[in-house]
Amino acid sequence: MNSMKGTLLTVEAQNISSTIKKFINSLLERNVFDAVLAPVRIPSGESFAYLLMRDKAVLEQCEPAPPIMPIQGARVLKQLTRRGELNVKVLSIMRPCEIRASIELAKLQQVHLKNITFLSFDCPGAFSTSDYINEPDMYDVSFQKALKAFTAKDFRACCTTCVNFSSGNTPTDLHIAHLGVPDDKLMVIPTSSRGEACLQAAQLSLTEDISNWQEQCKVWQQRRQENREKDFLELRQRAAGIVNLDAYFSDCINCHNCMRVCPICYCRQCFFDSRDTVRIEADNYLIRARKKGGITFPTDTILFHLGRMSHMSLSCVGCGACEDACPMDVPVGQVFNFIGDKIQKMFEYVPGRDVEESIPVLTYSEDELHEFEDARDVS
Amino acid sequence: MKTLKIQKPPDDAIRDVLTRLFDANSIGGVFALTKKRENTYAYSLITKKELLTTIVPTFPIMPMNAGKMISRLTMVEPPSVPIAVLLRPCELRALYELVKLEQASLDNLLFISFTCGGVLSLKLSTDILAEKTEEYWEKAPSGEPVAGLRESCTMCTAFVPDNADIVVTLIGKDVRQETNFIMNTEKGEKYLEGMNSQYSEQSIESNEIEAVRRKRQAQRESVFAKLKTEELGWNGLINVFGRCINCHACGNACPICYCTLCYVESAEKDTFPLAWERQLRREGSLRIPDDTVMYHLVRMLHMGVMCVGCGMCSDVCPTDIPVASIFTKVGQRMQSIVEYVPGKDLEEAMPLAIVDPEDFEEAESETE
Repeated sequence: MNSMKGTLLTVEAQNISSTIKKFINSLLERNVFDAVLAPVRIPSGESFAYLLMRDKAVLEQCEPAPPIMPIQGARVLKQLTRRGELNVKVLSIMRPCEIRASIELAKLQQVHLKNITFLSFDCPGAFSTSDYINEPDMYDVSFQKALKAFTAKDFRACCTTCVNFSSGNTPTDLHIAHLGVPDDKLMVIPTSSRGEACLQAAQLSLTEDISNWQEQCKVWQQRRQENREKDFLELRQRAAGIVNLDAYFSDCINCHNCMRVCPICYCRQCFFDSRDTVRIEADNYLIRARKKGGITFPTDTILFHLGRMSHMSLSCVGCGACEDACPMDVPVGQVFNFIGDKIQKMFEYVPGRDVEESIPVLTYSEDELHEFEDARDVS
Repeated sequence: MKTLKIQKPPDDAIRDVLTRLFDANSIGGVFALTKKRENTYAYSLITKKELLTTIVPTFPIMPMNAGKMISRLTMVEPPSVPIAVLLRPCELRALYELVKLEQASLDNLLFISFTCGGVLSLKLSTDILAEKTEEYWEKAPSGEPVAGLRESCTMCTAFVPDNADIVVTLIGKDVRQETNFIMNTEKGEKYLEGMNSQYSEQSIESNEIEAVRRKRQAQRESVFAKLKTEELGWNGLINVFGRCINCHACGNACPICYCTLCYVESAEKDTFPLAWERQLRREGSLRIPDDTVMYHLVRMLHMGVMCVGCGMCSDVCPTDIPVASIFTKVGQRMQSIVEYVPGKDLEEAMPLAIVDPEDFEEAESETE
C-alpha cells in the first residue's frame, strides 16, 4: 500500500478517548462490526478489564488506550476463540504487542482470527499495573500527556526499549496515529484492505498525507533502538553466564507466574508443573542433594526459566507482562526480551509480523545455521 | 516438658543441635530456610553437615509454604533416612492437611518448629530487609506490631506448633540470647537425648504467649470487621476482585491447592464461540476472561475449610488484592460450621470427605 493516506479526526476538549469512541460508534452504527473488544475501566476505578460489547452504553465507558496492560489482550482473544472461529464481526482494540502476540497464537492454533479486525494506536508504553493501582489519577494524567509526548517517567522497562510501538511490523487493520499529528487531531490510517473497507463504510475520505507520521515513527524508532542497545549491553554484563544468570534470578520463588501471564506460553500444563517433573521420590532428591551438599526447594529455578525461554523466545513479543506480574519484581521481561531479540535475528524472524510467516521451529531443516554451529568449538 | 537450653541465638543453637544429630547419624538431611546470597533466601534440602552454616531457619521470610515443599519431597515415597524439617506452625498445619489429602507423608521426618512471630511480606523491597529484620526482632517476640509483617501473621492466633516434635521458643523474653528446645513428643525427646547439655522442664504456653495471642485476636477481629464480607454481595465481590488479572498465582502458591491442573484452567472450562455469542446477545457485554470472581469462589469452596491462613496468596498477588484476609475470614466461618480445625489432628477426617447434608441445615437456615 504505497499510496497510504489517512483521515483526520478532531479531538474535542482534549479528550482523545471520546474522539476514538465516536469513531468506533460510527462503525457500529453502520453495522461494520457486531461487537467491540476493548478495555473498560473496572467499577472500582483502579484498573481495566477487557469487555466484549455491543451495548452502546457500555461502549461509552471503554478506554481504547488505557495507561496499563493488566491482562495481555492475546490471552483474552485466546479465551474467546481457542475453540473456533467467531461468527460475529469483532473490532478488537489493542496495543501493538497484544496484536503481535495474537498473531503468534494464531500460528500456534490457539487463536482464530476470522472475523476479527484489529485497531491499534501509536503506543508510548504502559505503566506497571501495581504502581497504577495505587495512584490511578496521577498516572492517568501522565499517560494523556505521554500519548503525544511519547515518553513518561515510570513506563515498564520493556516499553522503553520497544521499537514496534506503531503499525510497522504489526498487522493492524486500522491504526490511530498520534505521532506527527497536531495536538488537537488524531489520524486514522487504514493499514489493510479490510481497514480501508471499514473507512469506506464509515464514509470517511482518505485525503491526509501520512509522511509526517512516518517521519516521527522513524525518529522514535531510532531513539528506542538506542535505548535498546544500551539496555541490552547492560543486560549482557549482568546476566551472561550461568553464575550471573543465577544471581539475576536469585529473588525468584519459582511460582511460575511469569509463564502464566505470558501470552505465548499457551500450554494448559507446563512441563515444569507436570506430574513427570513434580513426582519424584524423596531419596531421588537426596541423591541430587548429596552431589553438592544441598539443593534448593523448589528445585530447578534456572532450568524452568531456560526451558521456558527455549520454548517461547522465538515468539516473544517483548510485552513485559511477565515482569509486571512477578511477585518478586525479578526483571524477567527484560532478559527474555534480550534473548528473544538475539534468537529472532538469528532466524530473521519477527514474531507477530505476518500470520503467513511460519514459526522457525516448525520449518527448521538440519542443514542450516552453519554460521552458528561451526563457530562453536566441538571437542 | 523436657527442655534443652542453649545459651546462643536461635539459628546458632539450631545449627549446633543439627550438627550433633548429623554426627550421631540420627539424621541424613535437613530441610530448612537457607541464605543463598545477600538478601536472598530459599528453602533447601541439605545433606552435608558443613552446609549447615547456610541455614537461617528463624529468619522471618517465607518464600514458599514449606508444607507444599515437603509435599513435593514426600508425595511419591518418603525418605529412607530421617530428615529434620524446620518450618513454621502454619506450614506444618498445611502439611498435615496435605497428608490427609494423600499428597505428603510424615514418615522419617523430624519436625522442629517455633512459636512464631510471623514473617515479613515478600513485597518488601529486599534492600530494606536487613533493617526490617532488626525491627522485627525488637518487636515480634512480644507481639508488638511490625510494619511490613504479613497481614495474615498480624492476626494469626495459631502460632504455637502443636504437632511439632521440638518447639523452639521465639516468643517471650530474651529469645535472641538463649534458645529453648521444648521436646513436645517422645520422638523429639529421643532425638535430643544425650546432648551433654543441661535439661530443664518448661511448658510451651506462657504468659507472654497468651498476651501475644490476645493481641493477635484483637487484630484479627479488626481486620475481619474492615473486610465487611457479609455485606459484599455480587457488586462487592466485583469491587474486591475486579482488578484480578486471572493469573491464578494465589492458587498456585496456596499449599492446600494441590491439583496439578486447576479445573478452571482445564479444557472442560473452555467456552465455545457459539456460547460466547449467545451470552453476548443476552447480556449486551461480557468481561473476558469471564470467570474472575468465579475462580475465587470455586477455590474458596474447595479449600476454605482447610485454609491455614498462611498468607502466601496475598504475598504473590501482583495486584495486591487482600485475598488471604478474605480467605482466612471465610475459612474460619466455614471451619466453625463443620467444627474443623485444619492441621490439628491427622485422625480428624476432612469435612468434605464425610459430608452429611444434615450438617448444613443450621447454616442454611441462618442465611435465609
